[in-house]
Amino acid sequence: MTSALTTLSRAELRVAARDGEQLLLTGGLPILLLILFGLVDVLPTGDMEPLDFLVPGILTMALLSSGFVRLAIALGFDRSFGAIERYAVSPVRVGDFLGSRAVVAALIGAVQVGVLFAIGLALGWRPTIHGLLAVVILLAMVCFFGLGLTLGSLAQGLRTLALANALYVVLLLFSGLVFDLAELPDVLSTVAELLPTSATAELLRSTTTGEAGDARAWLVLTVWSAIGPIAALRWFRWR
Amino acid sequence: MGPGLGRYLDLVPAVVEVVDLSVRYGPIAAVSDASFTVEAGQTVALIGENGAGKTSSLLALLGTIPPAHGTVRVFGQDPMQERARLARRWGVMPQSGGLPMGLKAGECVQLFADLYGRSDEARSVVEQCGLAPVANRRWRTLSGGQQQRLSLAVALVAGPDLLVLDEPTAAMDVNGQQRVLRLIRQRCDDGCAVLLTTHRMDEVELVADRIVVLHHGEVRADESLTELISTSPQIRVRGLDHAQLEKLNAAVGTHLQLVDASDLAVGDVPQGINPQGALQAVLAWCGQHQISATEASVGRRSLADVYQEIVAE
Repeated sequence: MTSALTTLSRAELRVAARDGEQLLLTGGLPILLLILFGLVDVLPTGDMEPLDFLVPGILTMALLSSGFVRLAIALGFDRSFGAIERYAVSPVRVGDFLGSRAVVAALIGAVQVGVLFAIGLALGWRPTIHGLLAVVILLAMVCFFGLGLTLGSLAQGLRTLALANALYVVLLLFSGLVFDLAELPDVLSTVAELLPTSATAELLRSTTTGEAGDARAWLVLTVWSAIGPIAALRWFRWR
Repeated sequence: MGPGLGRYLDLVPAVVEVVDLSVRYGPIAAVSDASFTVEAGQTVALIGENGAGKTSSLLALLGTIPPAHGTVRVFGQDPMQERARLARRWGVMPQSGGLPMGLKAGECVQLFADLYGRSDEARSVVEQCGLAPVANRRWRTLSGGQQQRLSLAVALVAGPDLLVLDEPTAAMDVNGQQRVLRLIRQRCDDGCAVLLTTHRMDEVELVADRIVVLHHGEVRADESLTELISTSPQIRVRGLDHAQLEKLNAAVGTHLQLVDASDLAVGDVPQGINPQGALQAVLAWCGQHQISATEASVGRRSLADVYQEIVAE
């Protein structure tokens, strides 16, 4: 007999594969932006090679969209359309349910990273990989996964959609992808540096240019990657 | 039944046992001190108006909302504590009937068949529920009635010992309703306990062994259909006001009373009087007093009549 985790993961993967809007958000948009800004050098990259700046930022965006936005919206709509209520009266356990979402989010995240790496290389990106790169990606996945599930548990349907997209824009805007955070007023700059997206982008840039990364960014991302799943477990509810 | 068997049956717990259940949503009491049971091989219908507490009672016995007071036992266990274990023995058709977005109808049934460890049953349940022609369509594109049959299929594929169905035929056409009622009856005959809520009195009369009437969260009646519907015939007269009815009752010996706020009066045929003779006496009295009754008949009471009387009390 197949385990509940495998059964649920298979169903969730089917649902994810058929969701055109989410595929566009998690797959199409990052690829499009990577190709566009890879070919047109308009981003404030400072002393960095444009692709060394761009690819980690796009990777951050992709992980945020597949982990946070997709999960939050999917869970919110599943709740609105009664699927969660159905699971609530089935033998499905919370661990299997959340686990299946995690498995699929990790699979999508891994494919995103692979595809974006390949496109980056094709565009001329020549990263120097530090061994901690995998840890950064893993922590970012865990963090965004937890925050996405938390939002999907706290809001429903269209409200989740609106909140997830609004937070997506804010988190991306203050990730250092669009402009240099040092140009912000001190208070805003400090707040932005405490966001999981800015820490992820910074650490991805470091670990793809051969450096271990800043201790503060590691601390920020580690704390968020603990807060995310804890909040998800704390606020997940069947009803 | 011998005394030994009687003692044995007393020891076997009911499939569902609800005792003095109260459910509250903040200051609002949805269910108040409700008690009822469902035995194996029995179909119990919970009937009542919208907001009477039917769905809240079901949710409490499924362990998804905690009782404010009272006890709920399913197969002798507390559903709040043992939800995942008990869920292996029940099949549920929630009112919303939702399923994971993007899945096809057949995939939905297969998903839950797999979760219940009954993978081989999916195809036959899809066919039983008349879903084979739409099995490859996404469930959200199905009609309301088809979605309900799909929801029932997901409940049935669990191979349950207890079926909990919240308004199972609400959006169905006549054929769909008949198919669903047949399936419910079959499962019940196989020993499954069935608890359903509905607003359709015709289907209650067709499938229910016991009827629990909920009104403003309270159990107003808990009886079998035959206990609830008097076998003695009733006279029904429409078009008389309260004063006219009093005079008619005094003259003919009937006990006609107005039903709720309508102009319909009903009453049992007095014992020892031929029903047709009683009706003739009523019509004759109306004729003498030049009152034209717009309807006058004699016959068995319907469940709808009984229900209206119960909730009007």
